[in-house]
Amino acid sequence: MADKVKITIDGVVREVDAGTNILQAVLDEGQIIPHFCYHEALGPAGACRMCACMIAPGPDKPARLEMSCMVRASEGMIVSVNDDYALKFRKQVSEDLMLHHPHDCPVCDEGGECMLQDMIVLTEQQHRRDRFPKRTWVNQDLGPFVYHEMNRCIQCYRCVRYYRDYALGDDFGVFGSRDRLYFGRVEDGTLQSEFSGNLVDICPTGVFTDKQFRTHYSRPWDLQTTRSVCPSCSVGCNVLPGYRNDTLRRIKPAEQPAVNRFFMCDRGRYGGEFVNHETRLTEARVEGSVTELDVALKSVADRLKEIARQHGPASIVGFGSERSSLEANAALQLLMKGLGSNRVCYFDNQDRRAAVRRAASITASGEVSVPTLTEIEQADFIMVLGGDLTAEAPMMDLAVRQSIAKGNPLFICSPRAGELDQFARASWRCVPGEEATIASFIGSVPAGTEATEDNFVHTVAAALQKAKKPLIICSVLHDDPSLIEAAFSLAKATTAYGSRTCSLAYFFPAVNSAGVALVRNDENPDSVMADIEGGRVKALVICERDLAATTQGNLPPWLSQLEFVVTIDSIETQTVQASHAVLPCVSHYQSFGTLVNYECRAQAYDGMHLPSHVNLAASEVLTALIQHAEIEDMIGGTDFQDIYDVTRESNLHMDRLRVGDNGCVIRTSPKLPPPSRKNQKDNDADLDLRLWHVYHTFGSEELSSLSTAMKERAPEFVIEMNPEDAEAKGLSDGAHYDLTNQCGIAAPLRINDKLAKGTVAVPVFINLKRTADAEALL
Amino acid sequence: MSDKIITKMLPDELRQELSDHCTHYANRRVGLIWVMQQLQAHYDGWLPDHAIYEAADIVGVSAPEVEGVATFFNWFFRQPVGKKIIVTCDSISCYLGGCDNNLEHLENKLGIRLGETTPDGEYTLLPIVCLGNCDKAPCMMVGDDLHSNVTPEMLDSLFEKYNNSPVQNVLAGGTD
Amino acid sequence: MAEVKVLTKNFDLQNPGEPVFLEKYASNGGYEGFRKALKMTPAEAQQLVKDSNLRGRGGAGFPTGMKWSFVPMDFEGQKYLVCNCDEMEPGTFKDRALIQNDPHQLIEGMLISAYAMQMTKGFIFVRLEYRSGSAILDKAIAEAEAKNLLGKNILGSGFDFHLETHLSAGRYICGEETALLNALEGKRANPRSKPPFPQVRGFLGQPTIVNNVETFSNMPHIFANGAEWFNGLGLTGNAGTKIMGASGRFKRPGLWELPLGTSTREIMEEYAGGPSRVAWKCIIPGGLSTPLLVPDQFDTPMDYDTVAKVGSRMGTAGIIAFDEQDCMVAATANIMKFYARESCGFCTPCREGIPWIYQIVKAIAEGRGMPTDMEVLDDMSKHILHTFCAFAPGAQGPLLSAITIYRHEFDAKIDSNKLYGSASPQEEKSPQFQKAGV
Repeated sequence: MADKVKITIDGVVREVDAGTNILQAVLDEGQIIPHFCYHEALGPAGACRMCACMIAPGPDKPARLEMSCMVRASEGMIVSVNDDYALKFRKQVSEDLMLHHPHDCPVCDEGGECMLQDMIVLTEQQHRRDRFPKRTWVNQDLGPFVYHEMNRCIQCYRCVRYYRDYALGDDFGVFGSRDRLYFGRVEDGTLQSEFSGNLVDICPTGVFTDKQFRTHYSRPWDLQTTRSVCPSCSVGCNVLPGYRNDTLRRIKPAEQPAVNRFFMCDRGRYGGEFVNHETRLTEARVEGSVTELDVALKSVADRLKEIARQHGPASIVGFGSERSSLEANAALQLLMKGLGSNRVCYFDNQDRRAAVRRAASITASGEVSVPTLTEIEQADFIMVLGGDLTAEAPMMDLAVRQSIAKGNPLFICSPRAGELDQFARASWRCVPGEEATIASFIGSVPAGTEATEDNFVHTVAAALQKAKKPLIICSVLHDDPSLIEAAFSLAKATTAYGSRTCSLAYFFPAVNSAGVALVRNDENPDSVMADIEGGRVKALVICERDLAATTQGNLPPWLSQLEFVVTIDSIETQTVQASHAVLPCVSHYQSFGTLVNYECRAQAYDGMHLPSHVNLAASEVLTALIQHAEIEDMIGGTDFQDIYDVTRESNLHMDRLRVGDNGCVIRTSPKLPPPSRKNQKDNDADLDLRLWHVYHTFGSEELSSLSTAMKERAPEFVIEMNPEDAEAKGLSDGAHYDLTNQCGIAAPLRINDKLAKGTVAVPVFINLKRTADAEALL
Repeated sequence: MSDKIITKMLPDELRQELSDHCTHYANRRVGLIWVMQQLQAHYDGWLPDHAIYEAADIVGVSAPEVEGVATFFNWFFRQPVGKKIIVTCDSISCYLGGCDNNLEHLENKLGIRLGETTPDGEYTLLPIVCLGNCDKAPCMMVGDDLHSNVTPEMLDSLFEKYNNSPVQNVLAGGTD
Repeated sequence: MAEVKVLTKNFDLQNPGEPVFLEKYASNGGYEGFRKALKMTPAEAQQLVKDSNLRGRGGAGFPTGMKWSFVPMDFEGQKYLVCNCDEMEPGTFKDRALIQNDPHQLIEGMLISAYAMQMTKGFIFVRLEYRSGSAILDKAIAEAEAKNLLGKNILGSGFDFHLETHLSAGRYICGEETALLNALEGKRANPRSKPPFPQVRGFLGQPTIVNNVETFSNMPHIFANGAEWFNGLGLTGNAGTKIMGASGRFKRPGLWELPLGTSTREIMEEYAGGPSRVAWKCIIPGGLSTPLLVPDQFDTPMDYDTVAKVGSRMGTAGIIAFDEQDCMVAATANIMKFYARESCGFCTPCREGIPWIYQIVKAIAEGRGMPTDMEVLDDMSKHILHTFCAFAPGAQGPLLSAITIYRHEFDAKIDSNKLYGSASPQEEKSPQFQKAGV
């Protein structure tokens, strides 16, 4: 806790943190001083001069007009917000700012939520005395996300400070000088930052507006808004989906002190189109024909009971999903229990299951400290192990950038360089699977070792040993249980260097991976698949999961062997198309429930109420199925802790979760499951190179990749290889490369010197028309 | 970039020289202004679009940073300029000395207004703030030459000289 | 009062000859001050500067010794010394004379200062228009390096100092020391917020001292002759001499080195030869950014404290005179054009306010004024005081005094207007920037 000081604001004594700036102190008190350039995340700049107040350092000291954002609170300070001189000054600043503003409010998308308008109204500046021509600018095309209207600019510098200094983007700047300042790119083109959409929020007026919102615009006050959690990665950012009539119009970040404070990534912001997508399911289907939901539920329930009777309950397996809520997955558990099967499977292969479950239980064990995004920003040493943080957990990347911006070292060990590598003090490219070895080397370097330029391990170890708030970040997306273990050991080992602890953050494949990993009853997918292939499994109940999602869009061949497959989902996936019965549920943003993020923080979320034929969330569909099967008796008395391995305290906390609160960090029983090694049965066995799946920020996530804007931002569909490997194979850039037998894709080859030697990288593109795209390229 | 006109190549030796200069400082960025001045001299007195990217590449900063600097300072030009840049001081001492008359005369003589370049590409006419020669106001610079106590009559004889001079007075920036 | 030849002992300000290079400079006592400084400890050297009561000659007049005392002497990393030769203040032309005529005086001054603060790297920040002066400095630096007066282990003392010139790409705001440091770092020359002050975090985040050419040029003489001698030079309590200038309505505009405290009228009449046409109306005493003085204030001694007492500032001591035939509205328009053009654009009142003021004053001067204009000018002239740096308050000086003292001229122009309230006919084009619309 910071020291408190007493300051007087307009005659009222307030206790505020020592050293906090006066503007923030006043805003925290719920009062407002008009301001533009100041933003809590960006800090003071002193550019707009709007937040001027009369400030005296003490009772007998003379008051001076000061910018309240630039003055730090000290004991006895007297602040006069509403002093006449300050009021007049602020009114004059308003007039200055409006001299060249186009007053095009009737056609401005910012209307209704324009900070400029709010502040000008606050200062009571109503009359224009200027009679000279306004300056004008040529706008730029900034790509599919952000619309540019430079004439509205009030030159507060927020955008450039956000984009360059906060998000560390390098394709945006301020040009010109005096009264001719221009904020934009050197030339037209798509903003390259993964966080460009925040310009829309950070701009106090309508210079940067949401281009996707424009395509189905609604006045902001006509939007209904609910509070949800973004489904596009395991960070679990809080968001405000805004909707009108029967469509989602836009998504904005919701302030959540424990997770995302002001910002969100472009994937989350522009990835909500799946709600309105043409392939969303609107009707139940049984054996290809559209059926009333009640009839379909009854028919599916009867069929499942019939199969259980005929082939035994163990012939039915439930397939849960890492993107479904705790409630939906619990309902699936109950259904399986009621049918007597008790067989539920959440993961596509045993390596993923082992990695995710191990990482989640370490996170929930309380044995290491798991940082919030704000704590990540404060780390003074960060090591990222495996994967590509930018693409796999974008907002965690943005938090890491805040640590980098303060000059702290970042180290990365991964087979392929991502966007974050440009900021790394050192990067190590290793073949997939070798990250764990590097991590254990780092952990075993003796204390006091000096950094040497050509020794990555020593360099990292030396920096790690010096750090006061070190942090290890580790990807769980690449199905490598040994890496999970190595990261855990490294974090534990490094706590031995001093009294400080080393934090550890795993980032998971999907929004609720950590949640489903805490399920007590979860079968080994490999043995389930063996049972299916052996004919011992006859029916599947699949909940919100596309079996083609992690297999390059290829459905598993055994799916067709099954007698009965019922799928509950909101969109027409390949799995839905291959199912015998389809029960539609509402989309993520229309449903409610609880999701568990990378810190094992459970967060409740709520849904939009769109008028639609489909009204039930996946959990409700499953409950209805239980009712129609009349198997409630079989599951009576099952409680949350029977399904999820959490402590009693966590259970109690979770009962009290409310939408929009800070959520609660789940703790599991202290004993960790045993570590496991990566399954050596690799699908790249007949390749001399190791296969690496590349997750891209845009296009690799299942739901967001349905958005049209996301397709524009998705990188090209190529297979990548290190120049040396390509040369050895006699392949040149652009050559056709066929990996159909290994991983089901063929695409042009791209030589990438930022990819480890001995590796072949294939992109994970889920909803892009991969075959057509690839063929077009070839 | 691909559809932009490349005005001239940047020789490898020059690129290397500029890059080497930057290593001389604790932070390469300190060399940016000098590098941009050299590039401007190389590209006939102005910075075409590709020069912005070249400077960014040589110094190791982002292109928007270079563009931000290029558009901030008085002596970087992002449009073609004439072979000789005429800057006429219009600050207070020169104003009192009659710089407005000189400027009018100059505009008529060259057939261009402030901020423009003659169609033959010989002269660009720009205003400048105080040249630090106030006791000899009004004053102006043509290329590297400072002219004091300028009068319309003097301008006539002056331009006879410059018009006949084959020497290009391209602003070379730092010449050390 | 006669001219005192201290800074100008090697050359004549009125009839400068060839630049003084090392041979001549050394033969006339050059580098003696530095040799004396080398015999002192850095702390003693700093104390001498404090005792001399030298104040910054760049316009603000901050005591140099005190400025230096904020440099953390126990700092182990690189510290920098920077000379501000970005002379762009209209009516000021002393630095040009100093670097073009006696470059070694500046180099020796920087050398002494660097020794006093144990700084091993220095830059002379020269505006591009002074490139001929910069070339002279470069030649002098090369001479000094050849004689081991710059470089490593200078004169066997173990002290290193490397000096180089930096040619700026030109903006008035670079004269502001933090903006200058940004420009030197290759950034846009926006001023930085203070604190941290440059003495603590300056060039590249390291402790840095920025002083004016004339300030540094005083050092060799202070060290050669002592603090007491230097204090004795001033007439009215401010120490030393000052290069005073006169431009505008004078018979003989020029530069003279005079003791601080010389009467303003004496400079104007004795040295500058009196008014060139008709009687004077007013003067700007010290470079453009200082408020006007009217004839009954002309006897004010030219020094920091006395000029401040009569409501203006000595600034750079470059006097600009206006006479009875000059229209103060048109003159104000010209002055505001300068500030509107040179604003860096960082903070609102300066970026938006000053161009607006310029538009209004210009409109009034051209007979397009409106009665409400004066109310706007009154508001704006007070408003531009509270800006991020001292640039706009500098603009306020001449503006506020002009619209106060010569309000009748503004009113008369508005009353007689012919083009009531019409807009400005046309804007300047700029080849520096292309994104502007039509």
